[in-house]
Amino acid sequence: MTTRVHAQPAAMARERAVPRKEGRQLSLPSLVTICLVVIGLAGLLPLIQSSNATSTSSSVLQLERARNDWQARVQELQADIATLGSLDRIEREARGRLGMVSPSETIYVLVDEPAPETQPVPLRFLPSKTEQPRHEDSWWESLLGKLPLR
Amino acid sequence: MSRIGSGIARRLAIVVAVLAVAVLGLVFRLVDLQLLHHQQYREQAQEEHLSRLDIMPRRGAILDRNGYPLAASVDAYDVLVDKHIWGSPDKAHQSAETLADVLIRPTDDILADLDGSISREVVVARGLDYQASVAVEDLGLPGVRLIRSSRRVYPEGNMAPALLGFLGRDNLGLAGLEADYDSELGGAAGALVYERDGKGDPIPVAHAKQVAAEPGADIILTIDRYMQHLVERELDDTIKKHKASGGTIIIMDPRTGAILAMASRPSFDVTHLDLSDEGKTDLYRNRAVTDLYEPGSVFKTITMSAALNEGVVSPESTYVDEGVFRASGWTITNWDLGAHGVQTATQILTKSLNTGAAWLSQLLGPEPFYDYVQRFGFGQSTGVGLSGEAPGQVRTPADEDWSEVDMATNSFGQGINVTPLQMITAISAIANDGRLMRPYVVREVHRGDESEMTEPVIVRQVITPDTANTLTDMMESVVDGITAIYAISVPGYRVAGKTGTASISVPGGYKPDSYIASFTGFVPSDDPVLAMLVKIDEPKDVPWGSAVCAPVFARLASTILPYLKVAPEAPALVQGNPSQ
Repeated sequence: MTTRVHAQPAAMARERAVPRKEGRQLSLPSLVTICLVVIGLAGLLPLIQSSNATSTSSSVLQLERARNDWQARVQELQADIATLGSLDRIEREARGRLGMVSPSETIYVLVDEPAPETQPVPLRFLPSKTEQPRHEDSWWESLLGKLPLR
Repeated sequence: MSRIGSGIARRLAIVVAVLAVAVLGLVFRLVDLQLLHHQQYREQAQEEHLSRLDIMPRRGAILDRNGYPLAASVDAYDVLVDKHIWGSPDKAHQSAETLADVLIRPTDDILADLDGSISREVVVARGLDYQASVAVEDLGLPGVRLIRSSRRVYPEGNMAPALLGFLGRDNLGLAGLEADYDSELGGAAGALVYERDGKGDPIPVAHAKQVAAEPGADIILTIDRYMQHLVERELDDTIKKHKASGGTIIIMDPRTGAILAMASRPSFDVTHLDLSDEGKTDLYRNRAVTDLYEPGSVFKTITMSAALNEGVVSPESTYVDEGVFRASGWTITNWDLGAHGVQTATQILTKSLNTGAAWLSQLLGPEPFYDYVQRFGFGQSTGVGLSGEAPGQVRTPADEDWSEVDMATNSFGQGINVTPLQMITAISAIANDGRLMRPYVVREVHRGDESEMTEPVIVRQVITPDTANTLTDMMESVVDGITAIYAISVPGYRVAGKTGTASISVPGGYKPDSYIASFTGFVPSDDPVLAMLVKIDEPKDVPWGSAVCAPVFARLASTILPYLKVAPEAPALVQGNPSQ
């Protein structure tokens, strides 16, 4: 009789302390696995970010190198254009290819028209001026812009 | 039990003590590495891992007045080899062989460069163009990297070499405008400090700090490339024709002082420089501003200007030419040793009479005469801004050994030393209503969006406009007189000028049978747009300025005036289509 009276309050106390759940209770190995997965994911995130940053930086370096190479190429072509427009070459082409000779007599003809503007380089060699599309900030760039971080 | 327990405790204590000592040792070592010798190891690490790359700025271009480049820079590449990465002699030889094929250099030369240098990285090739640099990069050799440099190109070839100058190996200007404007053209170098890996390549997302290079400014000259081309060709042809030793031609706009063309011979080839040849050092100077000569009869225009401006003579004033003029015990004669009798002031110029010029200087007196010489800019730098400019030599009464015969000879341009630029600047003052302009050759320094323009500077009013007009008429008479003998007319335009045939001074006297022929003038005489000096040194066949130099003036002026769109006088014009 006495034992039964003591057992009931203890059982009730255990039940109050550990609420009865419906379904399975997590075992220790499961808990450890979940923790390991969470830690792994947490560790993977900076790794992915770092990898992306490194790849982007490497791409930037490659693009810079390519840009510099194109700039060098452009400079060489500009120098070629200037050389092609040199007086010696013009005279060579005029005499050799076009069969022209220096005039023996100068005839002055008065023309009542304004002279054309002088051009240092023929217009067809100059790059056409294309309108650059106006860059509009994306939603997160505009949000960042509102913050006092930039 | 207690005895066993104390034994275990003692052994445990010994172990703990040993561990504690070990840990303390580690701590001390860490303190030593990270605190006491921190700076030393940090510098070592930086030296190992950090590289510094100087970013050379792009050198500015030198352009003519219309924007055509006379000298410009293009990117070039230098090839560097890291000796440590090449390591063993076998590996180095193998890599050098591969590289030699692309660089078109002997393998042994490349290896010799590496052995001969104490630096870790050695330059084995310089100034490669873009295609060659791509070929080197495609090899993918470890320890080989390209650094960007630049090389100078000259689209117009060897045009105005003495004026433009040239660069040294390190892209610093050594002569001419390249040296005078080196700080403007050179820009400011930048730097890139970055962490590198074992192959020497930069590590992405590692420490990197860059200071951008500032490109050099472009220099826009007053020189016109077409006029320069004509002048250089004419100068070469004339020197060859008359077997002369050299010469100078300068074309100036008398209204502003802008130099439109400037050429001198002998000179050098800027496209094929050999700076190791010390014998060619003499060729690098710009003779138009550095070399002195006695101008001869051209200087009579200065003497006449002074006399007219002071009112001591008019164009119709007369004097009796007896063929000799005596001063300080010396006897001066005319160039033809003749006595011409009664001559007007105008005939002093048209017949180029030495005695007449000496008579004018005597009328003026020493002080006014040398005052005008100084006011016309002789005996001092013109201020053109080109290095090496000589001020000239003028002996005045203030000099100890001066005598009146000096003034007499100075009056016809002997015994006085001037530069070609001084002479043309003075003549330009006559063309410019008596205003002496400061000559200049750099019109604009252009950097980004900013431009620094050179404005024309009036140095002083030397003679009155009336005097200038009167002298212009007299100089037209000179040209009319020459045109009758030599074909030097410029159809459709009136020319004012003066010839000169001067002896060449040497220590102790004058060089026998050697002369400097010259002609200086301006056109159109009523509203001059160009003034020109043609000076030919030691022509072998005929010494006269009228025969050697005046035709050059006429040919150049005939071509340049239509180019400048200067309309000729009405009778030379055809209205409409001449073929109808």
